[in-house]
Amino acid sequence: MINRLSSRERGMMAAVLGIVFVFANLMVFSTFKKKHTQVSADLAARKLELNSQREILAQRDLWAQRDAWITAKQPKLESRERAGVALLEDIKQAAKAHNVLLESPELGTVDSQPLYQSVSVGVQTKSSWAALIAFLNTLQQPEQFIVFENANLKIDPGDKTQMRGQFRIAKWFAP
Amino acid sequence: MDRKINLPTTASLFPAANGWHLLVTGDGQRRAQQAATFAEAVELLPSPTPGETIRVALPTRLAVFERFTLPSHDPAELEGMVQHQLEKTLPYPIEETTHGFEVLSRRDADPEAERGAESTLIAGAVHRAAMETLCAPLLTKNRHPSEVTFRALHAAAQAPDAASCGVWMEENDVVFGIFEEGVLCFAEIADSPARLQENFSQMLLSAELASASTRFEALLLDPALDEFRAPLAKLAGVPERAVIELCTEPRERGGDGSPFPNLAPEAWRLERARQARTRRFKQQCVKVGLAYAACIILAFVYLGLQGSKLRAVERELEATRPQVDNLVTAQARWRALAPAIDQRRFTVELLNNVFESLPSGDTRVTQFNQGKSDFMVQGEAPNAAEAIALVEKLKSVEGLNEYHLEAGQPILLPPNDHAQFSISGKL
Repeated sequence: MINRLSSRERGMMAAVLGIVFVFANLMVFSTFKKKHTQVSADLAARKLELNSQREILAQRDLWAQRDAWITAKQPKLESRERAGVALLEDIKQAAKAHNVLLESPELGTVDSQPLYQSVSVGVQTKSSWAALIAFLNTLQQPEQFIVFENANLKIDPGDKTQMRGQFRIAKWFAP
Repeated sequence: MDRKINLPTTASLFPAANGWHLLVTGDGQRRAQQAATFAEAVELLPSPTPGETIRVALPTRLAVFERFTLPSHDPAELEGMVQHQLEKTLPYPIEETTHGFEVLSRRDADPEAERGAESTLIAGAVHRAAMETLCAPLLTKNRHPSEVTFRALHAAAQAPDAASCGVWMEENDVVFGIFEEGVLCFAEIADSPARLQENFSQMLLSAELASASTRFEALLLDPALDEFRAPLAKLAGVPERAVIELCTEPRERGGDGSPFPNLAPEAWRLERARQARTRRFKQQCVKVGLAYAACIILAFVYLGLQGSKLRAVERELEATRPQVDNLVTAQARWRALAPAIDQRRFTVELLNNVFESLPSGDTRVTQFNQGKSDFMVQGEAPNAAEAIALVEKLKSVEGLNEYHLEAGQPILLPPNDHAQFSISGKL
């Protein structure tokens, strides 16, 4: 059939085929580039995520131990009514042991959070700097789950050798 | 029928007894076949291959042979003279013919006898329309012959140097030819062997009139006419032992003999050249197309591999996700309980870090506040440098690296320019 075409017609046909070829190539190239960009971006993101997961998994034993430790050591709240009193009693004993004067004790309510139940007590103290440090050190040990939700210390204006403290001390029980 | 010949082949089509012979050579093969007609012989041709050669030997019935003695030795001059002579003798216009010639003898110039150089030659012409009609089965298949010669010239190529004659079959015709020094110088056709014998003396007379020799030393006889060996030898005036079997296949001239005139028209040569160009172009297009297709395939194979890699990573992510979720939950639990279990967050530890960082005993902390996630230290230093040194040292304490520390410019207090500082840290 091509042989029956004139040279002008053959030229036009070649031009049309050339244009179709160029456009087909552009479509193929565009499709390839789009797919390649998408796949490359997805792959990079997934690899990043995988590396992050691997880093987390590499510390699997550490976090398992920590989780087990928390489960084992976090105290259970046996009585919501008496927990605050018991905490205040512990604070009083620590204060007595370190010669810290407690003032204005105030029991707080039980605050339930997803990972803990907080029982708090507000107290004011007056003591020497060394006694205060010893008092704080006795109260706050890892296995006691005691948190100073608020601590405000300043030098007593009337006696520069004494420190005045205002604390909200909480004990975080297991939920 | 074996048609599987892929390398360039040479196919020769030539008239023989009761039909046409096809001889195919090339690719280490040699195949000879017989067909009743030219068209049937064309059907037996192998599939077209690039660079193939198709040779056609025309039957003598299509040829017009003329013997001329012309005053030149120069081939170019002789060509012009032959054309001029043929214009006078041929029954159709010279433009409608294709012709060639072969020199029978040359005589040099002799000034004493006042005689110029002369060449005696035999010219053969064929009416192009008749040739195209014969070759139509080839032309319609776009397989233009590359060489067209006369069958009689191939018979002459087998003749000895001495004057000889030959009798052979071409389709249903019997051809009588006379050869001098291996060149055809006369040819006549009879429609049967019997008619040839009847007209033999008349043919010899015609040959004498055409200045051809009629005293022969050998007779070349087609094997198909072997039963007429004795009478034909007697008519030719040669003993039977001087009868030579004529090879039925086309023969090239041996030694340094000039090739037969090629009667293939220029248009056919151009058409073959065009077909060769088209074939080369198509081959190049195919190569380029294959390379292009390979690139496209490779590109999409690469995409497929990337996709496969992505799916593998996603599978691994899915497989580890439950364990990771458990660990993330454990981490979140630990971080949420950090104020109660992480010593670095304990009030006493923060105070210890602050007091360990005091540059001198003259720098004093006057106030310390701590919340769940922040703390603030206020105090006085003997000068601004010590206040700034405190800030720098706190920033380098490992136990405070979870806190983002901020400190404003120290305030200088009169009268002794003590510096009052305030440092805050937030998680």
